[in-house]
Amino acid sequence: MKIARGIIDGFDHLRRMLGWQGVMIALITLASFLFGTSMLISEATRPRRTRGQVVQSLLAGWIRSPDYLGLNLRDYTLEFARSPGEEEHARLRSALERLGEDLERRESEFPLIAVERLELVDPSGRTVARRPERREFAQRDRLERVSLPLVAESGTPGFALLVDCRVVPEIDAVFRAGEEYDVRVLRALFGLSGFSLLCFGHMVLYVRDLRERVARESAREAVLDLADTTCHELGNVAFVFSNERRNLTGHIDLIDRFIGLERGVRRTAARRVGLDEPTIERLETAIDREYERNGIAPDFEIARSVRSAGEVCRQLALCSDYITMTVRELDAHLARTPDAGTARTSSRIAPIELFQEAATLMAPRVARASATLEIAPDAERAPPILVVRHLMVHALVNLIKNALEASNADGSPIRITLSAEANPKIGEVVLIVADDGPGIAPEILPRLFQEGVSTKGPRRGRGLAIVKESVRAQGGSILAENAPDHGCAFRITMYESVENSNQES
Amino acid sequence: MSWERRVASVLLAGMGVALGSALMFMLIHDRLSAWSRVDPRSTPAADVAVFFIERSGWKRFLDGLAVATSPERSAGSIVLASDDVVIAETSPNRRRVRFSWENARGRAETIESVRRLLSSPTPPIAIIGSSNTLLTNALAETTAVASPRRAPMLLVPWATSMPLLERHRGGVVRFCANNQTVADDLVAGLATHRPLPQRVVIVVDPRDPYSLDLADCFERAVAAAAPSARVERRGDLLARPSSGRSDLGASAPSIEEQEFAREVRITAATTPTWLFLPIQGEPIRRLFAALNGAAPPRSERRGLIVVCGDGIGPAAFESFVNALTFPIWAPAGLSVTDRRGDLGTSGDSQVLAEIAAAVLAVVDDLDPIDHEAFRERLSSLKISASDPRSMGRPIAFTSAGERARESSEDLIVLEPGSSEVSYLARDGLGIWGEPRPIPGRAAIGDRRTP
Repeated sequence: MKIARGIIDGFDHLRRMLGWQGVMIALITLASFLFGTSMLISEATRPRRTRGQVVQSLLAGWIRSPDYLGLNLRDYTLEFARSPGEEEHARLRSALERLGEDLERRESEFPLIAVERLELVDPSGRTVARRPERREFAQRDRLERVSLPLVAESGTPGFALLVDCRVVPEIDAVFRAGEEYDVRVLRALFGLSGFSLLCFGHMVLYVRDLRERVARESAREAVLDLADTTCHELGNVAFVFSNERRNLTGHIDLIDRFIGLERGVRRTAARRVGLDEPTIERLETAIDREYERNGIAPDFEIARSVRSAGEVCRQLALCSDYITMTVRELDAHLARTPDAGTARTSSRIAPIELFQEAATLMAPRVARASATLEIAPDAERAPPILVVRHLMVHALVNLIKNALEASNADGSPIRITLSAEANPKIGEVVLIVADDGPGIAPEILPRLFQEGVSTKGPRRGRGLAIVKESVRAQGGSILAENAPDHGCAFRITMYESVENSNQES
Repeated sequence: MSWERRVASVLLAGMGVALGSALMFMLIHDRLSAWSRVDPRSTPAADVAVFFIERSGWKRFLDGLAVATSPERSAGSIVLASDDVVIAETSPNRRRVRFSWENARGRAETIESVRRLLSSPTPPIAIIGSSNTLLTNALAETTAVASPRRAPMLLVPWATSMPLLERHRGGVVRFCANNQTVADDLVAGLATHRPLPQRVVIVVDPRDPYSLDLADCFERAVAAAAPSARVERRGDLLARPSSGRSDLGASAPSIEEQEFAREVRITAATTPTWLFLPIQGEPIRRLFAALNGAAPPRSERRGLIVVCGDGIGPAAFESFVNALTFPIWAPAGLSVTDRRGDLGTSGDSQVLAEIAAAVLAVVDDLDPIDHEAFRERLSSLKISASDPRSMGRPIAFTSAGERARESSEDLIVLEPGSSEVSYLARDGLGIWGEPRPIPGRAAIGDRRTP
């Protein structure tokens, strides 16, 4: 039972490792090896055995020939065995003599075997009769002795006829050549089948090694995929983190300016309203006491808090920069790695997925700005495009952020719309980020995507340049246009994936 | 899986299947061939074992069977044949009979072979054979010990020894004449056309029961036909084993044989002598050589007539044409005048065809086929000479199992100096007619030694 289970398990293991084809090759290889081995064992000596059988059969047939009375040597031997008298012995010798004479008469018709001597022995090995009676053979050592049993009746002792004969050399040579040829062929068969079995064994070991390598590569690919995903997510976080830090720095600067101006502004305002100096002093004192009563020391604690907050902002900036730098390094490394996961390479992604991911990332900013971010319903019908996912999401996030920073003159909240247009004839898909803000100043529009061009002050104007570069790196193009009445739209033109195009065509 | 891998897998699987199939085909081809062949030995049929020493005997039996199953004879047809087995179908009831050759040589092998057949689940209903009196005796003795319900009937083609039928009473039928009939016919033929002898010499082979029996028969026939003749019986001549060769293709005669021949020939010059040689094989050839070597002058050759049994066949007779210096008389072993053309050149065909026709005729009437019914029906079988199943003479047996007297055989004669063998046949009154040339020498063929 254990053996059967072991065989089944081994078979199943082989099937899992090599597949059915491999199992088939294994079985054929093993069968051919066993066939070759068995043939070598059983067939190599067949010509020699056949030769022996031929000699034995010819001699046995010859001694069975009866005399004119219908009796053969075996009959006379039986007669002698039953009553070993002189007369029976004479008949036995006569029968042996007849065989000898028959042999001489048929010498010319007996081309295979030349019989030189016949000797009849009783069960004890004693010679009963022989022909010729006396004769020495010059080449006795080259004779072959064949023993032919004569009596098979139950209860009768076993006599045997010993025949010294010589197989005609030509026939012997034929059998010998046949045997040599057989052995050569069988050895070749054995060698070939053995070699194929060795090859198969080597193949099994190689496949096992290959499987381990594939497993390692799969693990590595999974790690790269994970790293890529982490890079993507961390990049998003760093991106948001950086934006929020800039906002926070602006707020802290504002508080710092407020603290620095607050006392002077208060005194100036008190003088302007006609308060004298002592009153102003009392008011200042009262205000200080009130701050003190509430546990606040603006000149000291708030300033210190502002400094601490500024320090935190700097730390955040450092961390953000560090994370960004790390992400870029990892990104660059993944870009150089050929086996990097699918996240590093272009893939077929539906525009709606890109819109949704960007909207999710920007949702807090949009809510804080009391803006509205919508995804047009037709975006769902847009065909997939071939893009690097995180690059395109970053581009969309930058464009949304850019729209949020625009402010309407009447203070109404900004409305941002994400939509997609497909042009199946030329395989284009256009991703549109539109807003209903004041639009882009006409003098800025031609240089909009140049680095450093911004209406928001110095050290700004990098976002759109990055977007343009990213889009171009993915094989697309971007342009900005003002709407006829108000607002503007950024149009990113990408191309449908080839597979998608083929299906459509 | 890509399409390339699919195609490669399909090709690999196809090649594997083809290779495996080829391997299996090579390995089991022989077995398949054996399975696909119809084995005549396993086909249901009534078994008949045929015992002849040589394959040539079996071939002659097949010739006889072919004659019996020819459309003109309408005894049946051959439906299946292999090397050693033939299945024939009887007509009109289409019952099958399987004739199998038993390659047994010598007495011991014959007995073993019969015992094996008798111990088989379905022993044969009949045994045909053998070529020799000793071996036929062995067949009769071995079948005699079987129970009547399983004992096969022994159909004897050539063994003429008188006591043969006694060895298995009721279980043997003889298709040839017995020794006494042969002896009576020969002596009657001689007495009709030649002067009665003053001296009769009978040479006996003491080792050969056929010789001993035929010698007794000759003695009785001579005593009846020529009571005044002096009968001498010589059993001492053939005791010594032969050696050397003679011109007649046999061993050279011994000195005793040569002296005997010289004495017989000299005496015959003055005393009409019939020399009976109821012997066979080597001894008869040696004595022929001795008699030929002791030939007196032509003027003194008239007094000797050599008479043989059926130990020397008609074909051998033809080989002696122009070679002997004395006349020989012998039984023809068949009816020369009654034979039809389809029996071919072999004289054996007549007896063997008669045996085949008789077996087919009996089996055709049996339902079911059992041993006792077969024996009973064969013993009472009567096929007239006009029946197409006969071979020119009636097939019927006496109650003892001997061939009925009307199935007479002819005699053949070879005179010295004659260039052809003559035959004598009885006329309507049973009188032996004058020797006449055989119509077509090929009409008489070879016979086995009895």
